[in-house]
Amino acid sequence: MNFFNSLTGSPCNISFDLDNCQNRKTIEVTSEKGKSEKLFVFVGNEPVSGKVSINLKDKAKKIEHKGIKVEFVGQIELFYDRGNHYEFTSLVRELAPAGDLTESKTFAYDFMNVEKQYESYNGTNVRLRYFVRLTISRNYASNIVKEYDIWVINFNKPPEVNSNIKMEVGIEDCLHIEFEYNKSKYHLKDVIIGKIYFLLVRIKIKYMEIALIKREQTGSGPNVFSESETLTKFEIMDGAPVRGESIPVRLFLSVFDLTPTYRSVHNKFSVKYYLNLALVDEDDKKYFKQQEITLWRRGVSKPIANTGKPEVHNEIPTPDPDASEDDSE
Amino acid sequence: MNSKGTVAITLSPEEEQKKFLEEAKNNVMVQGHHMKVALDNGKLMDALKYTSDIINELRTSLLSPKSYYALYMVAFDYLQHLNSYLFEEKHGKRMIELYEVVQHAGNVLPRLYLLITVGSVYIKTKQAPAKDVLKDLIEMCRGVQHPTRGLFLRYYLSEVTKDKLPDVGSDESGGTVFDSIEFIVQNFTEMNKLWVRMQHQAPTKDKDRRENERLDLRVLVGKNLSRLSQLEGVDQNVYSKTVLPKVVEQIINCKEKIAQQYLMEILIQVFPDEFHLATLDTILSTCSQLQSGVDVKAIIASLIDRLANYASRNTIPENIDIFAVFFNNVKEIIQNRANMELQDILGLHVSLLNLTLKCYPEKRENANAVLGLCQQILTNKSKEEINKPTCVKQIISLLQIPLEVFKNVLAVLKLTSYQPLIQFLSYNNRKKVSLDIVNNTIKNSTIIEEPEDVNSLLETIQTLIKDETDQPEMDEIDKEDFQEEQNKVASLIHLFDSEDPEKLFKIYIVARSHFGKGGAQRIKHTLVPLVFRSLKFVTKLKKQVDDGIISLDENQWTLIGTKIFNFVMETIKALVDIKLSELSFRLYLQAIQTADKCNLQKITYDFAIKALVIFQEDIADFKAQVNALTLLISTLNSLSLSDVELYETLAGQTIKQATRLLTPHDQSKLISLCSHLFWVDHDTRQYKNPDSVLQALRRSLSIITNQSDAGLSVFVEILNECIYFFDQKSDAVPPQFISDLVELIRTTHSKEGDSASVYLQNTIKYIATKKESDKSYAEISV
Repeated sequence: MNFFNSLTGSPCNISFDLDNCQNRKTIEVTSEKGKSEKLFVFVGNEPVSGKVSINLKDKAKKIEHKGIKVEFVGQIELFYDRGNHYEFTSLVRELAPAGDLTESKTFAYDFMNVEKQYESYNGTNVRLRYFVRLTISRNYASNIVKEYDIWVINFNKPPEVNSNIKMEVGIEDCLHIEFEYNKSKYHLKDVIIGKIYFLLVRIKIKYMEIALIKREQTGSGPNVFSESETLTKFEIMDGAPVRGESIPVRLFLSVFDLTPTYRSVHNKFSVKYYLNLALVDEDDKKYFKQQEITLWRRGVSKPIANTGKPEVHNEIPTPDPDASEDDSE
Repeated sequence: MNSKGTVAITLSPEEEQKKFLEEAKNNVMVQGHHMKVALDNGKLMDALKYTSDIINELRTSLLSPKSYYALYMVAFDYLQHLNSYLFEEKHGKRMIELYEVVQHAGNVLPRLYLLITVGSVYIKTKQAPAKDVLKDLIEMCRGVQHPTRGLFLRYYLSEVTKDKLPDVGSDESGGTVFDSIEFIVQNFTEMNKLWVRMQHQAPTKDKDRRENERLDLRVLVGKNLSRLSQLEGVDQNVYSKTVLPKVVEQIINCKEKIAQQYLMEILIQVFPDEFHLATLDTILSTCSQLQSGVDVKAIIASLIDRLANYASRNTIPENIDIFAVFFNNVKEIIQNRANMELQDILGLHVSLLNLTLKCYPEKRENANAVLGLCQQILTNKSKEEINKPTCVKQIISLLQIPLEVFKNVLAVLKLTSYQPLIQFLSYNNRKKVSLDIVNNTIKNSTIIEEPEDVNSLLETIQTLIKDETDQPEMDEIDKEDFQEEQNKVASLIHLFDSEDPEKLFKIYIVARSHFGKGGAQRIKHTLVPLVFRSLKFVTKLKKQVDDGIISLDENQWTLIGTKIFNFVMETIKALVDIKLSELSFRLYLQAIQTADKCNLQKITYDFAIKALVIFQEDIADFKAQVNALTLLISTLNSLSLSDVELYETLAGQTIKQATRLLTPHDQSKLISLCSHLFWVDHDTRQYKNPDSVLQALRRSLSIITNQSDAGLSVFVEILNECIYFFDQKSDAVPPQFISDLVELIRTTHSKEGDSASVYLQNTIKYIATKKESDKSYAEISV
């Protein structure tokens, strides 16, 4: 696939071509300027190789240059700190020494074993990009630079420990509930199964919902920016339950645009996810409890295509009658 | 209410409902239209979204149950449309995908309606085992805890799965009937909880409205029980072992009267009688555990009535004693429910009684047990409570039913608790029941042959027999009614009968002793027939003796006859004592004749003396005296008394009484009649005393002759008497006597215009005629 990018005043058109991309998955990404583009998805340490073509617009005009190079860059862009991009990875390949480019030319490049530690990320206040950059250095004119983004994802190993989340919360003599989510760590296509058990209800509840919240935190020290985004409000109960009722929770994560949990990316930012269980009473008063869940990206044995859903019924945990007793101590 | 200042007119609650409903309905139809268009264009995902919008209208809290139902029905049609589209599989999606997709909906109500819709197709396409889908659906439905919305959601679940439940003969891999039972019972349980909760969540002031709303919704809950009953796999065994215990558990545990009442009624209604028969204990012990406000009586009564009807059409298995089960349970329930209304307790007794009489007509001890229990209960109740009209009505039913069923008062009297039960009633009601008993006896012509039975009957109806402490004042009692009652009681005597004279006599003695307590107003009705029956009895007995059917020698007969007549005498005496002189007098005469026929001279004489005494002492009215004496004369004349001495004493006494009459006219008339006492000439007796005859006639004549206003008629009568005796060839009246008499009448007493003139003319004509044919008349001159 070719990308044509006409640079005003630029004497040439530059196009990148990546190897092994006939069947490569793409992802649609909305860029800073609101444009959406399709990027090829790379996993982990996959090599990035390909060709870059420089086509002169006017064949009579040669381009004098001090050298042509191609770089592979991984960088973090903090929106509040424009211009300061943190490159955490950068590899360079010299394509041509200083000279004149008199005709259109195609160069091959190859970044083998390039480490792509972080996943690409396109957040509210921060962006993590990987791209290939061609630079034609010039003496008298400004350098000709062209960047070409790819999208990187990393599969995680299934968590070794994945206990459920179970907790009793309440307001004395008013409301006591026990909630349980079947896991603490969910992969991105996972289903959150849970139940809310009402131990004491003295308020008139109107409804109960679970919100999935994404919290992006950038910067450090005095310059910490926190951005919360509610990805969904999922009503799980309508009406007022009485003591002893248990309400099922089943939330399919595949619908949402999620990333794995990023604890600390190059000490620049983190992305965490929370389940916020909220009960609303008839006076629209809210009672809630937030609980972090860890999201991880599951490796695909099967193609990532949207088929082969988990057998839903088998994943419904049967309520454990002893569980609540153990926990009430 | 919200301050929507722009709305100037306040709508009435009804108008408001209508408005809300119309709006919601419109929205549903608009979204429904979009959904259908989307389906027509094969855009399933869009269609699902529109369906979700349809269901969003069902999230309203503004509608009453009735309006909500109307809205639900509109939405239901669209869901059905979607349902059939999904089943046709044109969409090319696997059901498992759709099953997930619909769960992405953010609101729980649309999500669940969609899930159920897809789930039902999922089962129907057999892409998943029915039992798994059902289990999942029912579990997920917990998300709706709002009573009305939850009830309708679960009703929807029940509606769309009803033809997909695993049952006998369906594919095993989809589950068995037990999965279906589990599913329905769980749905039932949850629905009932929601339904009950509705009550508790309303403010107290809205209680009535809430109760009405709940009644509107009860069918939704009850439907589950019908579904259970429709499962082929629910046979009697499964019902009693699996279904009933679970259903009953919920009914008891919900601890709410409206629900318990309704569900018990439905339970009894939807399952067949055979099932109830096999599980009577469970059902009844459930009844005993229901809330105090539940009308347990209605439940049990309807069950009893059903089974009683069932028993009349089918034979009940011998190992089930329906009555015993009901009886013991009812007993226990009454004991445990301290605040049960007496009328309800009694109503249960009525049902029990009907049950045993229908199912076990031959086991009368059952009926007695029912009455006994009732008696025992009433002992601890206050008079006021017992005498409430509703209670009285039931007690009377308890007493009437055996009469109607047995159609034999003897069988009723065998129920030892019958009579004590009457005693709880007030005077008028006791009387009413007693009359029922009497009427029943008469209507069925029940012959009572045993003295004990007579005793027991009369004791039972004692309110009619004697005065009682709580009876109203005599002048408050309607005379006609009273007489009619007493006449009925009196007519019972005719049903007391026995082939065995000894027994029959005993019966009369028993009756006498009961009637004897009745007081003046009653005995004048009751003792008279007793006297007549006794006389008839003794006459028959005598005939049997004479015919040799009963062998008694003369002495024995005299002894027995005397005993019977003494009884009669004593009975008449009771009437004498209350100054019913004329009546007693006539009874004595009757007795005289009977005793005479029975050849008991002494008795005859005694009765005659009694008659004379009463005549002398107690008959004051002179017209009555004339009548009485006339009767006495003819009675004495008719006797066959052979003892001349006795007879003459009586005759003498009679003349004596005649001379004591008030007016000379009467004296004369009666003395002339007395002449017949001395000329007895019939088959059984000849007694002729011509001198006395003439003497009487002379005396009579002399009395009347001395009167200034003698009048013609008495003379003519005397003349006729003379002619009679002359005709009899008695030699008592000489021809000259007659001639002189005629002469006397003609000269002295015949006046123009006297009403007796014709009588005289006719008499003379008679003599003239006789003269032509009868030689003896030659000596008479007229």
